[in-house]
Amino acid sequence: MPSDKASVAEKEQIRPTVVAGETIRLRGQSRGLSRSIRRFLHYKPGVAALAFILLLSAIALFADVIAPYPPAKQYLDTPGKGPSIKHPLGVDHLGRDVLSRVIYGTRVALLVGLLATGIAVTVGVAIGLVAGYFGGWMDSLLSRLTDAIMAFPLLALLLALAVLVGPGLVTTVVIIGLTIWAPYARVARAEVLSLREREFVLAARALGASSIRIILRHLLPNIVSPIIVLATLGIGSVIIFESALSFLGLGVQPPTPAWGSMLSDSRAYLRYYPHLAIAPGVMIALTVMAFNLLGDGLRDMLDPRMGNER
Amino acid sequence: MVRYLAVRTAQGLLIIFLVSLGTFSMMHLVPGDPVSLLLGEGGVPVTKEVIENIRRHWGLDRPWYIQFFTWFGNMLRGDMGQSMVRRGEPVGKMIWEAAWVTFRLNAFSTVLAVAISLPLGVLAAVRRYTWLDYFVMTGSTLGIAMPNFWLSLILIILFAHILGLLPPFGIDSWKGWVLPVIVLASDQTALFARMMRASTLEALSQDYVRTARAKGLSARRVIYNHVVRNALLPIVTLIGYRAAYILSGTIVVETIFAIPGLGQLFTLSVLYRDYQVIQAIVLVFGVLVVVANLLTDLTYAMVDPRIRLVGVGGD
Repeated sequence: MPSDKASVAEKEQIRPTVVAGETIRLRGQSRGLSRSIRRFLHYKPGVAALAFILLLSAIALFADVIAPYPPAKQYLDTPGKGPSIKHPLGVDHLGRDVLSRVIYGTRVALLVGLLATGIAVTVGVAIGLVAGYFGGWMDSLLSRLTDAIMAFPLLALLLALAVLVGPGLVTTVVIIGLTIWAPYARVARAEVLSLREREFVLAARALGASSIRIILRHLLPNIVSPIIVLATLGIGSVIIFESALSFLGLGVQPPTPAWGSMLSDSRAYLRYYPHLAIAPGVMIALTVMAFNLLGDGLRDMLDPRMGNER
Repeated sequence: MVRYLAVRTAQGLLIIFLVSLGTFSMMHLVPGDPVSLLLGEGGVPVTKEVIENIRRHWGLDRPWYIQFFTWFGNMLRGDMGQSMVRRGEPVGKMIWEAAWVTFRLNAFSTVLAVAISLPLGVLAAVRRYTWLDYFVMTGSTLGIAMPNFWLSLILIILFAHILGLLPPFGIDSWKGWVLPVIVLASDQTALFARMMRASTLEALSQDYVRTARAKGLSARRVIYNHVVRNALLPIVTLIGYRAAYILSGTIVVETIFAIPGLGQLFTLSVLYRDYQVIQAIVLVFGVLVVVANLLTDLTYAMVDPRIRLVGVGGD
């Protein structure tokens, strides 16, 4: 699409980007991608995070093969036993293998993280695009709605919704997705406001393109980068929300193994089986950190102007 | 300034109204009759008339929008009504008692977080790329990623069960406050330190800092008088805007440490479907968030005159 290229080139002409003090980039469309990738590779924690996330995805996909035991099978002779050769992370209070449950828990974390973020991005971007493009009372209404959602204590809202709808995996995905869209709406709206009066949009309008077409073909592709960065950073907080909900017993329900509910189970046995509280927490922290670092790396890659605060 | 204030206040009121309306409809449009919950499933035969009477007593027989406006009107007059589930206990009393606990919990932890994070953030920025900087940044990355309920469990195992220094739950003595305050302070510390470092770096690169240095001011005075003062602004804003997160953060921590604050009250009320209490808490928080944001913006506008000029049109 010539219009988008024009806009990108224009942006770069106005603000030449200094990359690590070595080059000043003015146009360079063809080399843009490889340059971005190099910029991403330059940030080592981001690369490590990407590797870790790929590993996690593999673990989630092949959990059946990797896990040494079925996650719900009880080994009744040894409930609460600490790490041993047979059970590297020990068994829980019901005699289930902790390592296998941690491995299966990857599925829930990634599934909820990706799906809920997907819902939030879709809803938020749609609302932001409409609000920013049409403006007027529609913008006022949608912006105040966004503010209201932002003003709401999220976990409180999630708890109330989970109780009302009935907790479960699907509920968890949907309610998280439908409550965290506000930041995406804000960013999308702000981006559209800055693009709305640009030549390529005016040109499209002059050529008789419909509003829908302008929004989908001309505006949407131009706001993808900041949204991707925001969404990657958002996956981490979704995973924390999911595990907090599961921890409070209102997220993913047993027998499905989830890190949050494993920690919740461990609560009653902290004095006697403290090992139960370690592995799931480490996994949550590592996974959340990985998505945050990946987000930082992508920000360097896609929008170097935002980068330096790290 | 006056117009700015008026516009922002009007918007704030609208947001509070929307939040209340949202909560109200959510609680009422979804299946689950509070009357049957109130009567329990004890198998006591209840006639239709009794149920009708109860419904009439609580105004549940009227259309939901009339219920909403009655409730909203009462709220505006400061009357929070009575708890349906907890046998007519006044909601206002329950909320204020719990709010005092939650307030202290969050005040202590925010003060602690600010006291630790601001010096660390400034130091990390001034000594950029040294071990101190890497330590602060790694620590804050970890602190942000670590869910506070997990940190709570680890601290309970360590300080209550292994070392036996602090109680695992309850706030009967001052010792009970230590762990929850540390937990709530930890992720704020991580966030503030990171922000403070970023905004100090930003301030360090400004022309006025170069000027101050060129004038021959000592490094210490440049940092104190020129850098830190300017770098503090975004932090003040961040703390103000975080009011919305207080309830979210405190729900989990209060549940784990059995602290009778707003978070615990909210969780219990959700489980009991205690409409009156839930709505009142949400409204109180809506007001709190709106007021906190407004105050933050006003502080900002007063300190930084550039905001005033742009502020009126957009958000």
